[in-house]
Amino acid sequence: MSDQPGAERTLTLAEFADAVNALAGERTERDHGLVERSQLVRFALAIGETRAVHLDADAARAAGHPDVVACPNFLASVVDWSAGRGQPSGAPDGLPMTSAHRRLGRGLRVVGGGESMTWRSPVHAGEPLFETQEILGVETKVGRSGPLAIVSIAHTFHRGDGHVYEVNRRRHIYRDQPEVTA
Amino acid sequence: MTAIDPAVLSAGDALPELRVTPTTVQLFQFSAATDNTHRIHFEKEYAEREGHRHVLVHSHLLAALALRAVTESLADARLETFDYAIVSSAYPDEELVFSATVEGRDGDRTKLAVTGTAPEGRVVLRGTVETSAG
Repeated sequence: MSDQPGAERTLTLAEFADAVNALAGERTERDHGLVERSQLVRFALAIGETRAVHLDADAARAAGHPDVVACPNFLASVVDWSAGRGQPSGAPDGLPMTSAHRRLGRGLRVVGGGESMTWRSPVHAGEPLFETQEILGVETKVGRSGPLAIVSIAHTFHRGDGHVYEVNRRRHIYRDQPEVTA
Repeated sequence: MTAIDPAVLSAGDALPELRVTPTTVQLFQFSAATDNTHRIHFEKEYAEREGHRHVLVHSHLLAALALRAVTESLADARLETFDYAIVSSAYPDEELVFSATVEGRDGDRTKLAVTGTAPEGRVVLRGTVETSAG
């Protein structure tokens, strides 16, 4: 494994866009197990949340919830649900290679570009969590810093019995690595 | 903070701003809480090799802070939708100001424009939040 950001790139940005577009419509379903209270509280503390329903089970129950309530964009924020992954991904940027666009985009730069979120019902500690991901497509354009490919992925988080927590459409922005100057 | 009843709001009303200066420690906490191993958020030397001037504040942390700017004032409202774009990079140790301004109301629904701004007026996040009475 090289430590240089682009050393392991396998596709150009244009090839990457074509390869991900070819996967548009492909769905993956994942069972993330039960939502853990400690994870919800750690997230709340990390964002500076002060509302007690996100921090304390007794306060959440007093407010009519079964347990601690997840902060609004908690589900959207978790990058990798595979507890105990343990091993480095092998990618120079450290990201897990658990999604097709990440595997195809190995060696390219990627940042979060934004998201459209629709909440259906809150998720609480102890509830089952499933996620359906669908590749929606890739838009290519030239931004301030050069060519980029915007990968859109739909994420539906649900309980596994038809009860949906939220539906998100996330945008990942991929770019070539910067030119290295001597 | 006292909850504001959205029913008393009109287009153009601004909620109290949320001012936050993320630190590298907060970024680490956020990476840990979300199992985010992306090196651009915790390893400055690597982030610079990718062309950034420092480690980057996570897009989802910016989104979480933008939502706090709404929920800390409209504490009893229910979040319905949030659509946001990351407009430019945000870096630790810069004060970020998150503002929310009412765009309109329709029944029990309130639509707000949210903006995250870094020093020198650099906009880092722009979006729209819709709430209902819950």
